Amino acid sequence: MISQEELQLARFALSECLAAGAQGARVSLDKTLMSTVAVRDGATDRVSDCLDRAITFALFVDGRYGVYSTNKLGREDLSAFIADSVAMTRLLSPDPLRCLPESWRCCKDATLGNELGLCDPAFEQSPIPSAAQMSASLPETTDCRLLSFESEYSKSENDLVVLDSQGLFCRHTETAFEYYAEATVEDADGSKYNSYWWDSSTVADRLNIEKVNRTALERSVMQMHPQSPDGGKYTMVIELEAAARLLSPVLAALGGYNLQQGNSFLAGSEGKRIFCPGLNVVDEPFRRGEAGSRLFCSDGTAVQDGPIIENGCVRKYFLNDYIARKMKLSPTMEEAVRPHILPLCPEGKNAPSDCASMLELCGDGILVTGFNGGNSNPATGDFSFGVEGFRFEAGRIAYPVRGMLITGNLIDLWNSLYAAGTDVRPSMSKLIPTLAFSNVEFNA
Amino acid sequence: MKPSTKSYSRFSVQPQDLDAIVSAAMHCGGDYCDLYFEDTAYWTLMLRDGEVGSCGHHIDYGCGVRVLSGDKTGYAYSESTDRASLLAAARRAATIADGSSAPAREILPPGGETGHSAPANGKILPLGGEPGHSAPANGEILPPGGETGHSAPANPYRAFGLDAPRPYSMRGSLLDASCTDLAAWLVRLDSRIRSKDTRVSKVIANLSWSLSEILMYNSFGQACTDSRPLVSISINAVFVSEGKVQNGGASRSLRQGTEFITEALLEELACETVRGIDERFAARRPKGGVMSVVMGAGASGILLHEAMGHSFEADHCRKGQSIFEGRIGQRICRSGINIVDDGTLPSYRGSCAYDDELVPSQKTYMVEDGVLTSYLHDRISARFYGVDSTGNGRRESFRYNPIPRMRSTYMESGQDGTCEDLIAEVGSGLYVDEFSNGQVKIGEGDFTFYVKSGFLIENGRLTMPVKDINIIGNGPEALASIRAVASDLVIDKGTWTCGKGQNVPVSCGIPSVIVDGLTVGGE
Repeated sequence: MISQEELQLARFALSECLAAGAQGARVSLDKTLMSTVAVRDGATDRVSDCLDRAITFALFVDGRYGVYSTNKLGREDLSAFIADSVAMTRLLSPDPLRCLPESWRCCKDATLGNELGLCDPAFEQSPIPSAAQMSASLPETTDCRLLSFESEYSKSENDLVVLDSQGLFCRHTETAFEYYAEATVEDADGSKYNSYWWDSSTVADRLNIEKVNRTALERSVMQMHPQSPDGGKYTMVIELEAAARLLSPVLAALGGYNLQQGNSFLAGSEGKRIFCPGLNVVDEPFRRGEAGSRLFCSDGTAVQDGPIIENGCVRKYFLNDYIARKMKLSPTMEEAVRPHILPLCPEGKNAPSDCASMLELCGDGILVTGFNGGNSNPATGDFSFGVEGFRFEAGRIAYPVRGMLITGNLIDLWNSLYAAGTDVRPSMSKLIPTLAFSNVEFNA
Repeated sequence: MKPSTKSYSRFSVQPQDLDAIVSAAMHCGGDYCDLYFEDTAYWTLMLRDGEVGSCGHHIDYGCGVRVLSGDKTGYAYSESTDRASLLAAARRAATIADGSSAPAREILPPGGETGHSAPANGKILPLGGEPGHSAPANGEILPPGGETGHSAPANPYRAFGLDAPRPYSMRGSLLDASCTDLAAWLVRLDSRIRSKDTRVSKVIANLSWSLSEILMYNSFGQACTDSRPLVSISINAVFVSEGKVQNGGASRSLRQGTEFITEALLEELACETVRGIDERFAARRPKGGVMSVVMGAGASGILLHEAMGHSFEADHCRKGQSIFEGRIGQRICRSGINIVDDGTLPSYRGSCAYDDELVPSQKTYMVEDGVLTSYLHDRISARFYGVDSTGNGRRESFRYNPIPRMRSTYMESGQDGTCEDLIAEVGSGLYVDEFSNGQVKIGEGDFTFYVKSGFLIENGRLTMPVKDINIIGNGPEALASIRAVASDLVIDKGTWTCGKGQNVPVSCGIPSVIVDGLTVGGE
């Protein structure tokens, strides 16, 4: 998608950075094309169409560092902007730890952009569904009224090129097709319930629009007539679509930014068993054809696969070059790309293959399908989240719950992991299956 | 402000170009069209480990073209503002009115137009009137060919007067800000914070300043410009004591120029960063349960924003999604309570002279004396409900179409005494002075807020400090459960940003209030 002319522009920008006085520079050219159609109650509600292009520069000038970006891409504008940027960088304090990554760490395998097969070759021709298609397969609602049904389809193509003054050339190209539906229903008492569902893929024909529509409406209806069970300790099953909320603060605590600031509840954890022995988290950035896979970090360094948490032991901090130098450690990569929680089955049982079989395995507890507010403390790992979902009994959903919170500490929580399914969703950036935790504190 | 020649030249357009672009956008029909040109420059300085070792400068430039056909929206934007690119964007936005659901992308020949040019005379008649003039006296704007043909024509899109005062000034030009001086100020701030508490181990401070030059034009032939400054500072400090770690922080954000940066502000921020840290080290999770909660004045206003304000946004209401839909004119809380969304507060982060669809900003009462009196409207919802827009059509940038968004949302002071009076009245419960990460379900009205700091109330006094807990409730029920409102309104000046698919700066505030019957999560 990035044309030869635009590629020349990126090279021109790089040479201008050096000509203006930078000793090192990295230039990223990012181009995205996106079309969106939104449908409400069977009729087209909004169409939009856009093309974005921007160049970002990281400048290393006399031991100083700055990051700049512009979408004014005329050569004259660029030259003036770069000259100003170099001058601005010179006003900062020197920071000898800022420099381009060592060449041997940089990615050399991403020159075409589509090495990981993330582009739909039929992107240009793939049609945007009609309003009728985007309203299809809505089942009749019997004990409630459908107040509003909205859906949105988007297709986009992103092309990124990263160059640096040490000869780096990396390219990443990815297409994305996304579909989202949201339903609001009203029961006989006038109470409203809202829910949504979505699907996404790098390839258009993998989207199942009808299933998304049906699921959004079903999930709205399922929330009707909620109850508030007593607070206390319950087995918590968490849907795979919601489970990232519990893993993300763990990954953030393993990130260099928090570690270097001494603001991480996992400081000093590398190589130690912190979590339950059954927890295995592996980074799998190279999965072909799956959204979010990639070969290089934003600074052009090659990403790595491998364990993050192995049998409960912390195996990796996420340290980019700069933070690693500050901490006098070896650099790894700036963040997890596609963390995958591997299956965990209780002794003598198979790992559940979906949410229903996880409920059956656990028997009794609360199924969490989403979060409503809340936070965790990065320094202590203490958390409190509002949750929504269902009480389940004897392996089956009994009734929806409302007004509930879970509280605890993230280390304790992940030590109470009871089971992890096999049912990851490849279109999500984090490959997390349905999870079950024992003895989670619910407040109501 | 009326555009000057310089305003047009900034975007490389002429007034007559704008008419041609609007014409192209409405060549399939449509009831209204607007153009939103933006040139934003944004600078950052970051202090870490005692030094300002990182800076940034970012430019975002382009124009959004929007066509409204009834309550449907066609939108496209271009990062180039040459005539050909804008005409191409206009034709893509136009598809909303031609019945096709997919915008057809055109490939422009180099430097040329595609052939769908404006009418021969290059002028576009604003719907129902001459170009350059405001709407007809009756305010009704007819699409080409006559009647609107839409199901909810109660109030067609209309023109508003363009005489709004700017609620912000810029005594010191942000364009001429000295990075050296600002970096030195940040280093002094770091030292000042450390001098106030020896437990400070790390300080990160981010200073940013931006200036957005805006040019808007609509199918009534109206044009105006706005120059929107914004300066923000946020600080996070890590404190270590006896092996334990806690965070403290502070932020400020105002629509001002370099006069924002003062020694007085430095001292204020340093004090605020270390304030309450002893209590945080001592804080525990309380026993959970249902209890009365005293919300402290100021930043607690985020609860009002999230739990009630979003449900008052009229896009949620017109789609039947909001729990407050259909309740205009009804009592929703005790008499004496007034809830306001105000875009005119001088220098506040949520203020604007005009919203992003050329409607002058205003102070809007959503609740007056306990009765729901208005939703927050953009042009689409105003037309749907047959009322005037309240000037709440806002957008993150030219890349987004405007939708109803809050500005500075607050509850006016009451007459129930001071915060101390409320604490004494509650007897036992919870006092909260800092929230984060609030979320609300618009349909159900259920909300959850994370309490960063607060105290238990026992025997009418503040006792044990608490942290890392949640409060949950239901918006309408919580509003109806406000028992007392103190006379100490504070509108917070922090770096609040509201996300609703797109981010916009907002402000929020509240006087101290007692809310009965909220669920507090705890041990």
